Parts: sequence; C-alpha cells; structure tokens
Amino acid sequence: MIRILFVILLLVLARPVSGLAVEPVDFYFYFPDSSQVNLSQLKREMDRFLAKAGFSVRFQPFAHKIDFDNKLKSGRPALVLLPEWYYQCNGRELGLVPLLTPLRHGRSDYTKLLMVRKSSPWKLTDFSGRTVAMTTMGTDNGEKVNRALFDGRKLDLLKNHIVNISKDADAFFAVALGHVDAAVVCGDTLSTVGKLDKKLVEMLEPLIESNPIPMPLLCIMSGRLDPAGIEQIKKIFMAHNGGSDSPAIMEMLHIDGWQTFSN
Amino acid sequence: MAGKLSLIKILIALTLILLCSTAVSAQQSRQQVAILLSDSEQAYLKPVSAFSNEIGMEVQVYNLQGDLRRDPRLMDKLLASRPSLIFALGAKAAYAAKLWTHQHQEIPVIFAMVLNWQKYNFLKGQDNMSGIASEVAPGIQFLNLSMFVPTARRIGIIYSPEHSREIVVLAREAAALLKLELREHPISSPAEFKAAYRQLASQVDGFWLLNDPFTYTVENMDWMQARCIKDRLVCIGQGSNLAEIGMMLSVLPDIDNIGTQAASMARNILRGQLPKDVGVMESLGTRILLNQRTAARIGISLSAQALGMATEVME
Repeated sequence: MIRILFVILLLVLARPVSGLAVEPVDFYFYFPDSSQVNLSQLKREMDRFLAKAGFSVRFQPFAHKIDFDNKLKSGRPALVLLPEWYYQCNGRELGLVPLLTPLRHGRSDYTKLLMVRKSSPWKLTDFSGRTVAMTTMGTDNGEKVNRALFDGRKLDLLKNHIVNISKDADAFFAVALGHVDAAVVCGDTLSTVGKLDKKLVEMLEPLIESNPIPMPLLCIMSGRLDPAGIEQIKKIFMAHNGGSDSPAIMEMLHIDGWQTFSN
Repeated sequence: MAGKLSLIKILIALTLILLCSTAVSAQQSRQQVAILLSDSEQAYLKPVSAFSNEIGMEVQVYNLQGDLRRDPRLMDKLLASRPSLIFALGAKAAYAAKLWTHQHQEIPVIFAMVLNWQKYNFLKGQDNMSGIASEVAPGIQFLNLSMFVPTARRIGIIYSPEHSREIVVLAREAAALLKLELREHPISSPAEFKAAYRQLASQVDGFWLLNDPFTYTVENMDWMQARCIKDRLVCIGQGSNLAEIGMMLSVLPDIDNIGTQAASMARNILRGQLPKDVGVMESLGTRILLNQRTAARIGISLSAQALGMATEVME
C-alpha cells in the first residue's frame, strides 16, 4: 500500500504542469545580444505581462552563460528563451523543444556589425591579428563563430583574437575606447546607444555586416507543460502580432511579433 | 636478403614514428591549465567556474592559502603538472606565478583581480606575463556618463597626486578621446576636499570620484552626495556603494565576466598570440548602477532606453 502511495506521489510530482495551475512554472531567459541589460526591469515586465494573461511564471533572466548553464541543467524550467546557437549546441540533449521565434521588424533574424574606430587603420582587406570583442556563441570560438557570422564574406575571424564578453554593450564600449581593435556588435545595441548619445556611435564605423543570425527561441522543456499550457503560451505571445499596442515587454526586447518555430 | 633488411628497417622506422606521435598526442591530450588562487576568497569562485567551463581543457586548481610559504611543495606540484598556462587570481597568486615561471617562461600567465596591478611590476623582465585590470578604466566611466547625461561635457576631478597621478593621466587621454573637458584640482590632504569642490562646482557639469584615499572618505562622500544634489551636479564613480548612498552613477567591473574574458585570452595565447602582445587588458565587462531618484532630484530625466542600459536601477 505504501509503495502504491509512493508511486502515486511520484507520478503527481512528475506530471506536466499547466500555466493555469496555481503553482507558477519556471521561465528562464538568456540572450547576451539584447540591449536590455536591466534584468530586474525585464523580470518585472515579463511577470506583469504573463500574469495579466492568467499565466503564472517564475521568470528568471540570466546575464552570464555560466549561471544559465548551471541553472538550466539543475532547474529544468518549463519555458526557456535562449539564443539559437545555444539550442543547437545543447537543446536536444537538455530536452528543449522550440515553440516560437520572436520577430524584429517582421524578421526572424538579425545581424551584427564588425565595428572599428573611425580613426583606426584597420581595413577589411587585411583584417588579421586584431583583438575583437564580442558576446559568446558557445565554447568553440573561432570556427563556429566564423561559420555562423561571416561564412562567404570577406572576413576570416579565425585570423584574429576573439575576446568574449557577457553583454553586447560592453563590446561597444571596448571598441569605442580603443581597449580592443574591433567589436562585433548588434545593430540594435548601436541604435539604442545612438538614441542616448549620437556622438558615441559616430566615433565608429562598420567594416562588414554579418550573415543573418536567427533570433532567439522560446522553447518548452519536454514533459514540463501539458498541451493546454503549451497552447495557452502560444496564444498569449501571438495575440499581440500586428497590434499597435505592444506590451512593454515586447518593446523592451525590441520584438514586434512572434511566429511558430519551423526548421 | 637485402630487400628483407630494407623492409625491416622501414618497419622499424614506421614503428618509431608511430610511437613518437602517440607519445606526443598523449602528452597533448593531457594538456591542462593551472588556476592559482591567492587564498579561498569567495570572489574567486565565479571567475574560476566560468574559466573552467569555457576553456575547454582540463583544469587543476592550486591554492596558496594566503601565504607563499604555507605549502613549500606547491610550486613543484604545479610545475610537475606541466601546465599549458597559469590563470592567477589575486596579487599573491600573480606574484607567485611570476616567480615560479621565471625559469619556465614557456608557460604563459594571465593574472586577474589584482588591485593596483601597476605597482607590482608584473610585466617587467618576463615576456610570459599578461593580465586583466581590476578597475574600470576612466574612459568607461566617462563614456557611461556621456551616454546617460550627454549634456555633461565638463568633468571635475579632485585627487591627490601622491595616490592618483597615473590614473589622472589616463583620464586626460580618455576625456580627449570623448571630447570632454576635465577640470582638475589636486589636494594634499582629505581636509582640502570640500574647498576644492566649492572651487570647481561652478565650472563643471559633474564630478568623477576616484578611489583616492584623500577624496574617498566616509565624511567626504556623505558631504558630497548632498552637495551634488543641491548643486544639481552628476556624480560618477566606481564604488558600488556610491549609487547606494545617493550618487547618480556607479560603473564597476563585472567580476563574473573576468573568467570568461580570461578564458578567451588563454585560448588566444594557446593558439599563438604572445602574452607580451596581450599585456594587461582592461576589464571589459561592466556593471552599471543608476540611482534614478538622484537623477530626478538633479533634473535629469532618463528614457526607457537609458534605464534598460543600466544593469541595476535604484528607484
């Protein structure tokens, strides 16, 4: 009898949960290319957005890959928003299933720019041996980054020295001040800094634009949400597509819509 | 017969080549990186964890436990592991790494989390030394000031030449780069601070506070926080408590990013970049603390974008 009760208890604990349930589900966020680095503000807005839609979550954004790595392995959250490269490296092994992709200016990808100081002597034709700051794209630096960003372009990052930083804005600061020779920075970050102080962006010039990089993926963890919960999440996010009254969270992440993930 | 002998010779030669290459690859596969800690300081945990996670090689941690003489065999243990590189955290570890590799300069060293690294002459006389600065460069401070308050173009600095001469030289270079104007006021004791402030206040849009023992006293900071609000001046510095006590902006190094930056530098060095060409890099990760209440009190309105660019906002 005790065994049966124990098994029932285990089954109850392991069951997929619905967002409608009283118990909130864990939702992790990691996107180092975001210009929104104020994670408390992001958390407040995401909690507010989902609570308003009747979906209760414990939203936890991460600034550093190491913290995200560790927590993702131990925490098994129901929902995760993460970079596409992270999903390609670890997603299947962790049991993540892509659900939605955010859209920016109606596109499911974005680009980065290799920026140098206007006064610098570096030209694309002989760009090698330089120190380049950029956000991480996983542990295997050189080749993967080269393939993802500049494959088929006139730049070989492998001939340069990549230095990883945790947030995109730091790459901008580093190149603007000459702490590195160049930086691979998102157009979104440049536009945000430019809105604050145009002079800072005018100090730099782009050498080359990257290939399109897929926008991050909203994934579900296998077995952690029931079908009703999954449908509800899809509806909540996609309800604002094409609307003029974007919720603050979407404006904060510079997202104007969502689409169902397709390979 | 001669043909057989030649065949045997070729086979022996091939076997030797294979044996040698197996030995080399076995040695390569054993390649490891040593992390040398000054002590068991809690602040080292995150950089160690990030570095170990991202370097993609076997990592062995050694700890000086606060004293180079505590374990006389530690140097031999570390060198016996034939590390490809040493990542030294803290001043004692950086000092030990330099000393221990004096006769082994084929082992590159990256040091980090050493306050005032310049005073230790770590780079002098050894080409295998490189590092990451602990303080946020003056340029990063000014750039953030410019980003959050673009109208602040004249910056006041009160400093003691005895303690801050070098950093003020760097500040002048950074200000020139960002087209900011510096107004400097040297002082020779903490008691001169308030008078220096009064002299500069009408000539500047804001102050940059140095970690200078003559300016950075509890009394001076308390007084200045109130005065800056009264005079509607922006104050920026790199103590985390500055924004907490009411200054508008603090820009600090992101300690959690140090392991990530060091792992990238280590990979570059292990792929052939020379440590002497790397030198001491600035700490590229930043934490930006913004006191929104103070900003409002001195008449600065911050847009949603500005608030989004700050790591932490005190409301």
